[in-house]
Amino acid sequence: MIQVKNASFKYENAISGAAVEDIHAVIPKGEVVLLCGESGSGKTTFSRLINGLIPSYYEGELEGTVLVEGQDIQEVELYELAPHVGSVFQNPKSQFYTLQTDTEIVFACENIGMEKADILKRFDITVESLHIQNLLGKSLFALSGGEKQKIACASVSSLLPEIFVLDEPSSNLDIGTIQELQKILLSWKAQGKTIIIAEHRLAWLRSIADRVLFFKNGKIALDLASDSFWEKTTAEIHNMGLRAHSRFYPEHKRKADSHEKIELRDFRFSYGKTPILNIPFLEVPEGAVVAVLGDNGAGKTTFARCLCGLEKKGQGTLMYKSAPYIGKKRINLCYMVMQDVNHQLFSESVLEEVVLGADIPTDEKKEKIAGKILSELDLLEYKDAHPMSLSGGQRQRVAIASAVASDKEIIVFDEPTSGLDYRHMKEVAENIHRLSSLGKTEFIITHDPELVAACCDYFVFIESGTVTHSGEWTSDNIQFVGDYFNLI
Amino acid sequence: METILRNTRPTARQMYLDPRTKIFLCLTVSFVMLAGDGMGTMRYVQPVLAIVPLVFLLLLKKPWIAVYYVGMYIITTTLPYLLLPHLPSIVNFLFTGVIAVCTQALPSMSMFCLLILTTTVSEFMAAMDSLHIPKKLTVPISIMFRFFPTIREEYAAIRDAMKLREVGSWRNPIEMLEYRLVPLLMGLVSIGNDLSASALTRGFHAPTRRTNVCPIGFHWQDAVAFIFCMVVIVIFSLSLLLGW
Amino acid sequence: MKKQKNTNTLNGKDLMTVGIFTAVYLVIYILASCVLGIIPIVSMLMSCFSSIILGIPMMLYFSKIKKFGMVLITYIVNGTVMVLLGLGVYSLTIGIICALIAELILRSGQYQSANRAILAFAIACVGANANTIYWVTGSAQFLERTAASMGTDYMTTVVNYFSYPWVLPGVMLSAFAGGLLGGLLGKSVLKKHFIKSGLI
Repeated sequence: MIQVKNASFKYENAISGAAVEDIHAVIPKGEVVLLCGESGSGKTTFSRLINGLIPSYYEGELEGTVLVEGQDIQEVELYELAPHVGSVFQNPKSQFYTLQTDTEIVFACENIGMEKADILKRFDITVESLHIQNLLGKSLFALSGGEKQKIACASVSSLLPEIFVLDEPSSNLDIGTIQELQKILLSWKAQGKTIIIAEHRLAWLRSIADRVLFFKNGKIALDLASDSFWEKTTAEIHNMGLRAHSRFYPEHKRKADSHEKIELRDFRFSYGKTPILNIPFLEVPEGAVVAVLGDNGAGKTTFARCLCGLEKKGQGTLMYKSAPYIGKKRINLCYMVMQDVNHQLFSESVLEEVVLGADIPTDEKKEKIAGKILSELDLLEYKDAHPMSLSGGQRQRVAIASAVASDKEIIVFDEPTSGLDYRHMKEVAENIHRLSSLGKTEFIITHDPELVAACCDYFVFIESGTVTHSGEWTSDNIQFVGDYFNLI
Repeated sequence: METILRNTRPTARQMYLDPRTKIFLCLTVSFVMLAGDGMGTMRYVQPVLAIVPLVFLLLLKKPWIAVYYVGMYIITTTLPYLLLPHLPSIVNFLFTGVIAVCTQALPSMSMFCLLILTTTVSEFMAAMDSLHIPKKLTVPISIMFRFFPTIREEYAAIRDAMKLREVGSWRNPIEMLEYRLVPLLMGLVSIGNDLSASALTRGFHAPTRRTNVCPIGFHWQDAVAFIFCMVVIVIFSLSLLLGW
Repeated sequence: MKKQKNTNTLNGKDLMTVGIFTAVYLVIYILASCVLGIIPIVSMLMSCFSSIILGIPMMLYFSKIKKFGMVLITYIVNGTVMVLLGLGVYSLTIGIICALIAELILRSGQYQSANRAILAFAIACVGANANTIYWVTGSAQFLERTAASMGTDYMTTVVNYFSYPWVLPGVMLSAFAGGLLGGLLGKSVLKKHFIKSGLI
C-alpha cells in the first residue's frame, strides 16, 4: 500500500530531475501502475518518492507525506526501506555492484545481514523463478544490456519486496529482451506484488498494467484504468507526447534511384577466434537513410565501429564515389554519433565545438562556415552556450554539426532514441532529415520502429554477424520489418 | 543449484588462496623488497621473493606475462648498473638511482596487480569485514574496485570520440588533458550517481553487520604461504639485527 | 516533523563519492607516474606534473565535499595502495598528516572557499608525494652500495646524499607548487565546463 498525499518536491540541484507538485495518489497492494508522460514531466521523481531516494539521496524541499507500507519516507533510512521496495533503473551498466552475476543476485541480502542459509535459499528461488540459470557464473561486463537488466531484476527480487519500482527499464533493450522482461513482470504480478513502472515504450505493458498515471508538468494530469487508456487512438497518444505502437509503415520511400552506390566489401571482424562480423558484399544507395536492424549481440555495433574505422582489426573495403577506403582511412569519411553523445562534446561553447578539429585555415572563414552550419541545424542562438547545458536532442545536433563541419560524408547513429519520448524522437528524426537534405548518407542503428518509420528509406537486417536482408521499402520488405517489430 | 556461492575452496581463479593471505603475501614482498639492502643473506632472499609473482603467474596459466615479467625483472636489475659509469653523478642520483629503487618494487607491484585481479569485490568485502576494518574504509574501497573497469570503458569511448574528431594531440598538452578529463569526469560522475543510488536502494551501508556468502577461509595452501612469509620475515630481521 | 538526520557524519552517498574519486585519483596518478617517470628530466618533477594533472578531478571532488573526513579517507587509501605497491610508507604516514591539515583548511572555509580548496589540495599533494623522500635516500644508498661493490671505477659515481641538500626540499616544494598550479587549472576548468553547463 502506497499513499502519497499532497506531495511536492523540488530538487536542490535542478539537473537531478524535474520538480513535482501537489501529487495525490493511493496505490493499493497488488496493483500495477504505469507512469507515463514526456521527459521532464516528473514521473521519475514520483518513482523516487516511492523508493525513498527522495529525500535520502536527492536533496531538496519535500512537502506533504508519502507513506510506503505504512512508513513515512521522511523518517526511514534507505536500508530500512530496502526489504520492502525493490528498484530497477534505466541504465543497465550502472546498476550492478559486484561484477559477477551470482554475487550480484545476493548482494542486497548480504547487505541487510540475512543468515547465510537463508540467502542461499533465496538465491535458488530467485534464479528459478526468473529463469536465469544460463546467466550464472558470468562476469557482468560480458553480458548484454538485456541480460544485465534481468540480473538487476533478480538482485532486487531476492529480497522478496512487496513493491517494485522500475524506472524506464526497457530503454536500452531490443524487442526480444523486452519480451523476457515482460515475463518477469507478469510473474511478479501473479505473485500479487505492487509494481510501479515509469516507461516511454508502452506497448509491452498492455497486458500488465492495471492503471495509468499520466504526468504533465510535474502533476498527475490523468489517472485512468488501463482499459480506458488503451482505447485511445494513436493520434491521441501522440498528442499527449507519448509513444504509440501501431503496425510499422514507413513514411518515406526512395524515389527512382539514379544515385551512385556505396559498396562494402569483405567486412570481417572476429574477437579472438569467434567471428563477430562477416559481410562479403553490401550495397547501399548514396544519400540513403539506412536503418540497421537486428537483435542485441547480432553485431550491429561492431558493424558501425568497423564502418567508421574504429576497430583496428576490422577488415574490409568501403567504396565511396569509386574510391576505396580501407581501415583507419575511413575515419576521415565517417562519423559516429554515439549513444552517449556526452562523450563527444569537448568544448566550452557550441561554436568552438563545431570548429574544433575541422580543417579550415583562417579564423574568419571558420566563423563563417560554422555560422552557416549552425543556422542550418537551428543552433545559432545557442552558439555561446556550453554544449552540456543543452537538451539531449540539441546536444546530438551539436555533435552532428561538428561532423558536418569536418566534411564527413557518412554519419552513423548508434541507438539515437533509446529512452526518448515522442517529441524528442521526432526531434532526432528531424535532425536526421536535415543531414539527409545536406546529401549525407546515414546509418541508423536502432530498435525503435517509430524512428525507422519516420526517417529511414532503406534497411539492413543483421543476424549473427551477417546481413540477411537489405533493401528499400518494397512491400515484402515492409512486411518483413513489420513482422520483426511486431514481436511484442 | 550449481553456483560459485556454494564453493567452499578457493579455485585457480583466486590463486587457491584466501584474500587475507594474499594481502599478507603482498605486504611481505613489498616490505622486504623495500627495506632489504640486497646485501648479505638478502642477496638471496630478495630474488626468491621476486619468484613469488612468477609462481602465481604460472599457476594462473599466463605464460606470456610470466616471460614478460622475467624479462622486465632482468632488465630492471641489470640496466642501472650498466648505465651508472657513463652518466654524471647528479643524473645518477636523480634518475638512475631513483629508477633502480622504484623498479626494485617490480615484484611487489606485480603482487599487487595479482591481488587485485584474482580477488572479487565480494571476497574483498568479506576479507575486510573479517579484519574488522571500519565501514568508512570498506565502502569506498569496494566501490573503487567496481569503478576501475568502468573508468577503462568510459575512457575507451572518449578515445574513440577523439579519434573520430581528430582532436587532442600532444602538441597542446593542456588542451589534450582537458578534452580527455572533462568528458571522462562528467560521464563518471553520472555513472557514479546511478551506481550509488542503486546500491543504496539495495541496503548497502546498512549499519548491521554484513553477511558474506562468498567463501573465504584458510586451507593448507594458506598455511604454506604463511610459513613462507614468516621465514622470510625472520631471515630479514636477523639480517637487519645481526648484519648477516 | 521532519526527522533531523545526522548531517555531520559521512553517509552512504558521501562514501560512494569518496570511492569514485579515489579510484579516479589512483588511476590517473599511477598512469601519469608510469608515463612520466621514465623520462629522465621529468622523473624528479613527476610529483609536480602529476599534481597538475590531478588538479582537475580533485577540484571537482573538493567542490563536492561538505563534511569532515572525505579527503582523509582518500589519502589513507592512496597511502595504503602505495605501501602495497612497495613504494614506501611515507605516503601513508605523512599523507595522513597532510590530509588532516587539508581537512582543517577546508573546514575553516566552511567547505565553500575555492581558494582554500586549492591550498588544501596543494598541501595534500605534498603528503601524497612524500614517497620521494624514500626514493632520494634510497637512490643515494643504492649508488653508494653499488660503487662499493663494483670497485674503484665506479667511485666517481658516488654521491653523498648530503652533497645535494636542496633536492629533498626541492621535490617537496615542486609537489606543493604543482598542487597550486593544478588547483588553479582545476578551478578554471571547473568554471569553464562544470559550472557553465550547470553540472555543479
